[in-house]
Amino acid sequence: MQRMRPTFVVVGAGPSGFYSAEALLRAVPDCRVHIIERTAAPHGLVRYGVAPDHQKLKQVTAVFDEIASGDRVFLHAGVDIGTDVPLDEIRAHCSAVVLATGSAVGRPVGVPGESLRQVFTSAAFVGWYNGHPDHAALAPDLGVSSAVIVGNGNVSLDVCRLLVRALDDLEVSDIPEPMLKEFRSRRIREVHMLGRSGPGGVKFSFKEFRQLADLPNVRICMPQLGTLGDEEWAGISGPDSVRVVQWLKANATPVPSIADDGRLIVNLWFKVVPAEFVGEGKVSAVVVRPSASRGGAEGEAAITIPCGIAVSCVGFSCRRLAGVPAYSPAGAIENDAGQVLGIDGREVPGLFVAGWAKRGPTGIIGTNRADADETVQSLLKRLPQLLDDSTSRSGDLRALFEQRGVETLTHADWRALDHVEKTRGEARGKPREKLLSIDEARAALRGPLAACSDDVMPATSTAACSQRRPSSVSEGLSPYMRA
Amino acid sequence: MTHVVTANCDQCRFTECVMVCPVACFRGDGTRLYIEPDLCVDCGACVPICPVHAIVDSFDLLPDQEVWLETNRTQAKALPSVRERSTPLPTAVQRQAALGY
Repeated sequence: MQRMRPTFVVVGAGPSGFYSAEALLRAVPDCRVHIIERTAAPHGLVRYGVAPDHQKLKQVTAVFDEIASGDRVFLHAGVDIGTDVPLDEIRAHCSAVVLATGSAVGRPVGVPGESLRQVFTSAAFVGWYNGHPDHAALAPDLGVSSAVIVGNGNVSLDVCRLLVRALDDLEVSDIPEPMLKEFRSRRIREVHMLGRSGPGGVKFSFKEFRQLADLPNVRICMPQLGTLGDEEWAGISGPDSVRVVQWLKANATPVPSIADDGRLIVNLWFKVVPAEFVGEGKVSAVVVRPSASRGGAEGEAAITIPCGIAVSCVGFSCRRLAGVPAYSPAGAIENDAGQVLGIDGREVPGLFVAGWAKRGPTGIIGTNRADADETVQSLLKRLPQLLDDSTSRSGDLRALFEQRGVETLTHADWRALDHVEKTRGEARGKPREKLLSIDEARAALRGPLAACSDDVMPATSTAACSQRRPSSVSEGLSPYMRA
Repeated sequence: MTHVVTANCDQCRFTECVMVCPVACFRGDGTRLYIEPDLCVDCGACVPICPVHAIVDSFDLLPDQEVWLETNRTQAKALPSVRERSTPLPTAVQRQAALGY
């Protein structure tokens, strides 16, 4: 029987998935890497998490597409592992699996009233304005005057900035048209950001904060400016918070009695936690109380902040996947440097994890490159055994999907879809107009725009819409891979 | 806007930065690294990871550091990509101590 070529499967086509694939391709010259993606489009949180007005950061997708265009990489999009095909079956078809499935589930705050309408987790709200198929039907009402955001990290700042940023700026972002329509009917006059720490303990970066503070139509206020004591300003958590504190001391004002100059108000609250979301059917206010860390706050009264929408940006955990034996209390997959561990702490042979699913929702895109490298080093240490154990496996993922009746989209399909989205976007002055579901994607592939996407294909290819990958993709490595 | 590698990289060349760069924008020779400004997406992942704080957002450059903008651009265009971590220069530890990190 013919020995299977080293065959690896990466589950999840986000940053960690692509960087895992990149490291595997470099380390094991004769291997094949299959990347499986649940949605129709690759790029994970770069597409569905990075804010739509951060287009420069989204340029990193060019790197992912370079990795995916190698002739030993195969993208299978539109396959939900655990639903369409069990994880164990995937493992039985290859040498090793790297889970790069991220942390897709928004963490609730854990207080009463979270099931009221207009109370969302950041995973749902950010997913909605980025056109994630899971959240495209969320239908939040932005025709409200006041919003509350729970949390003091970069996600909170993204949500806040999107809620207040001038419509002209949003019109040229890649917020999908149905969502943009909702932004056009925004009535928001003020946003309240609730932070558990003092000003020195903020989790967001100064750079992100400056982007919000520099918006010409926004005024940053601190309702507690006169009441926070010196010890409450202290507790500096890093170089960024030093600069945030400096900025606030120099620039923030208490809440003005009247919104005199027409600017929108962002109120930064510190040392508070939400106690309850209240309202009849939908949220009308958030009750906040001093956080436990606020010294001398015994008996301090709760504050009621009226709002018509509330978004909690307090973290994420992994979507549970059958075949993954154990999760940490924080919601990540139990592992040792990327090697997945069972409940008994023993290694699960041939199962690895990278990215947010491995270390929790921390760090930025680039963090995942070093992280994926660590996971691949763990895999390489065990490679001889993994190859011995898998020599009689088929490595034929395509046959497995066909047998299971799962129709997949390839990277050639994605290039065609990318072209469709960009063309649709161009007509509206946007970087792209996203396709919002796998059905829309399939319909677009049958349409005229996909058929004329030669300009985005490798020079000699003519098979833009083919279900097979184009045979003409060069044997040579792309510039990114060669560099 | 871009990020730039400033003087502190000289005699160090720790290369921690290249592992976290999502777009492979580091270039270099045997003595130090530079950032290719046309590739950098300003994500900032490299800033906190540099042991000698050599990398600065161009927005934050001090007046006497501004010269590094042009140096990074011209050197990066001429030098090969550095993508994998390598052993720091023999002078790195001493230099790091001298810089106070």
